[in-house]
Amino acid sequence: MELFQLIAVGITGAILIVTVKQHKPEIALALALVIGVLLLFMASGFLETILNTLRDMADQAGLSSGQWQLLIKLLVAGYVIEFGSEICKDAGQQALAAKLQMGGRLIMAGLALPVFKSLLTLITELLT
Amino acid sequence: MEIQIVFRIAAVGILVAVVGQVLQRAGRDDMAMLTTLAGLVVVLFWVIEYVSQLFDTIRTLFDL
Repeated sequence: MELFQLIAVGITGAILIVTVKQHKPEIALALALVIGVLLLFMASGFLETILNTLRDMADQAGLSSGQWQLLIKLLVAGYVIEFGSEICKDAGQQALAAKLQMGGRLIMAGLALPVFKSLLTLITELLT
Repeated sequence: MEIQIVFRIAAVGILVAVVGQVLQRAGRDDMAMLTTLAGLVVVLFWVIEYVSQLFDTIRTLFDL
């Protein structure tokens, strides 16, 4: 079953990383990155069905495709930034991870700004 | 194919470590340093190619 494969790859990966880390820490970091990517690949099989059901629900809720696109972009941006900053933490670079997350927040805020502005205009119209 | 890359990188890591040790015993520390760098470059090529493959899959999956 997909789940047991995932766990097996994770555990063997961890053991491999530890063995390589004693001699070559930099290659162990690259190995950790590759194993993380492999786990994401294995889990991405289910992503297609999840996305389709989410899109159907969004259409029913009357979400326009532009808003849906923005929502997905923010979702993916959040996870990708977290992926990168965790790798930096793995390498022991806490400050770098924090900077990466700050940059990510700025980009996501920039993306979400127009929606926020339209919300504010909507509210002010309601109030006046 | 997927698990192959993991074992390949681990093998390169261990190989570079062993070759480095041997070279150091033979008194050629500079060569040991160079083999370490060479191993790292090879591993980085694979890693970058693999991560770009992931980002392409994400882009097509979410059609961003």
